[in-house]
Amino acid sequence: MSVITSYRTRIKLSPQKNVEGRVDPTWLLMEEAVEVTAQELGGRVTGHIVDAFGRQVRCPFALVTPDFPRGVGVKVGPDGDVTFIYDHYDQEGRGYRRIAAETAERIVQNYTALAVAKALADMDYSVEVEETRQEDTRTRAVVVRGTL
Amino acid sequence: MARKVKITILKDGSVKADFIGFGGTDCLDEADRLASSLARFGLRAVATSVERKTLAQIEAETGPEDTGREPVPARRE
Repeated sequence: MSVITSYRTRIKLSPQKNVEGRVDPTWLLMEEAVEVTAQELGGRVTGHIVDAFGRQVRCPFALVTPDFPRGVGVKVGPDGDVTFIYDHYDQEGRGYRRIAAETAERIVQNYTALAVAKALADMDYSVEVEETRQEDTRTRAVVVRGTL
Repeated sequence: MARKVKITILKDGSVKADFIGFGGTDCLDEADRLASSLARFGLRAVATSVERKTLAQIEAETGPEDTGREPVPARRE
């Protein structure tokens, strides 16, 4: 029997960044996901976002892009749950709400792809990753292929 | 035939895993292993649907099943 299984996913980092004197792998993975997303969007990684009034809000990871210079921040709750913070207030029609939401989605997609690739490698699969477009919606998809 | 997994990660982070070349219930066991491995990398995956492949889909991946019979040549009198 062969099957196709669909999953709903949720990112849950270690509640503590440092475990036994080392940075937890899930935090390293989030750092990598934010860096990859920054490269893709021509942005950079920082440690804070700014709100519409220019006030800084610190967070473990933040991504500033040319299209959304206030930045999208990643916050980690006490139970390891991940939330994204940003100020999309915009009276000039710059599309901040959409851009910020898409940036957060992209970080989630990249984190998921990295986690899947590492999980398969951990299961002794040889792994290949490619970016593609979904046939029906033409939205970005990442395909991870594993061969035993 | 090599066992393969093709995993598609969609825009919203949802995942579709296609298990290819697994016999019996091995693919279900492999899906469980995958979910456990993902959890170690900070990704909780909850299966929302499991779709059995049709015979045609399986044959397209592995080739038609060998019946062990020699083909009988068609002959016209």
